[in-house]
Amino acid sequence: MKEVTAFGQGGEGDLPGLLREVESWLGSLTGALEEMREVRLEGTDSTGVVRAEVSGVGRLVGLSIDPRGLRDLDHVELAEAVRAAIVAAHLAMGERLTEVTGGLAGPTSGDDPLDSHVRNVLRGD
Amino acid sequence: MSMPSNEPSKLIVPGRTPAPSGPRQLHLANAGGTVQRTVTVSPPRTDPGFYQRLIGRLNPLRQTSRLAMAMSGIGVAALALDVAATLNLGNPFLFHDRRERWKEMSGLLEGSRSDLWRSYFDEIAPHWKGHAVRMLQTYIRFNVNVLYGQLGKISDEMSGTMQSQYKEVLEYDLSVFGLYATSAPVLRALTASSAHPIGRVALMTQVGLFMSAVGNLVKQFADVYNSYEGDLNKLELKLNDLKGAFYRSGNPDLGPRDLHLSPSIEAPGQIDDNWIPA
Repeated sequence: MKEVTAFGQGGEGDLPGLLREVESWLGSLTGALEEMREVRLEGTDSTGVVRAEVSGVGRLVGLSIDPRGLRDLDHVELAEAVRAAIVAAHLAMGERLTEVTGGLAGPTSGDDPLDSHVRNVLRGD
Repeated sequence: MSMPSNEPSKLIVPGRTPAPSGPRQLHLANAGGTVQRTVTVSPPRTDPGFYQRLIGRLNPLRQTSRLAMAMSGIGVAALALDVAATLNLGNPFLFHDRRERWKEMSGLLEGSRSDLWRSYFDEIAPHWKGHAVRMLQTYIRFNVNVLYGQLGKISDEMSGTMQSQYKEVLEYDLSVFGLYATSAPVLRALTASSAHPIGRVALMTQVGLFMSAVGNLVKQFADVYNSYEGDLNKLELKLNDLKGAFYRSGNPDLGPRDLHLSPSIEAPGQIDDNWIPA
């Protein structure tokens, strides 16, 4: 990612090289998101009665309730358990997402390297 | 840089601004201050500030998009592409101005060529004969007219190339601006929900789509740029031909060619032989 680094710091580099790197990067991103679409992540509430299953992009694909646990939960507690299981599944999904896309991350300072360029243009320099 | 909310976005395109107040007159005076000649000059073209406005309007949209890229956690390549796309924005006025200058030059050349041509065929050819007239005709037909033609042709081509570049730069500028203007609100909304994993997936997807679109624009512009490099190279070769016509061995260091008429055309001793009334 030599050109990505050069351009990312506000310098000029080899544009075709940057486009090649970006294309490869986009391929990796698409691959990572495809992989996320295929995976299934689970989460359970604290009692283990409710189990939720979500896809890697967050769609709820399964929900199971252990009938034995129902004896101890009223309707309000059951609703809370369902919510907690879904939240847990989504947290698992978030962790997997970070894992899968980890290779695509890079150092980003948040500063705009073109800040002075923009100021110069606006000043008419 | 903030954009006043009550002000509609307005981008003034070079050449579509109200024309500056008409032509002005330039009075040429001698050392005594007496006006010897008055010429009409076109008012100077001024940059309507399109590029400045573009950057001014684009920058807040860029900041929104850059924040979204950074928040997506995968924005390093997108941030680099943003820099490349922004640095490739250009000021179309520069090309518009050159297009007009070459066009004016072409008009002046053709005007001068016609003046000379008509002067000969209206004032000299019908009224005179003799060696001088033949010499003059040869000079005008095969020397001056050809050189004027070559100069006019290259001026036309330069003007045409500048027009094409103006169009391409303007199109690229407006495409980049349009892309940021339509994507920034979506990216802003997704950034707000990116704390949730589902929001983050949506943001990553959108950043990916945005990058793909910006990448295509930059690539298309790079292709166009390369194509115009080719056109400019051809023009440079033609200018080399012109150098050959005006300079010895085509080398300005060796001095200009002598393109003047032979002085014998007005030699007092040969006037009666050279200039015979028709």
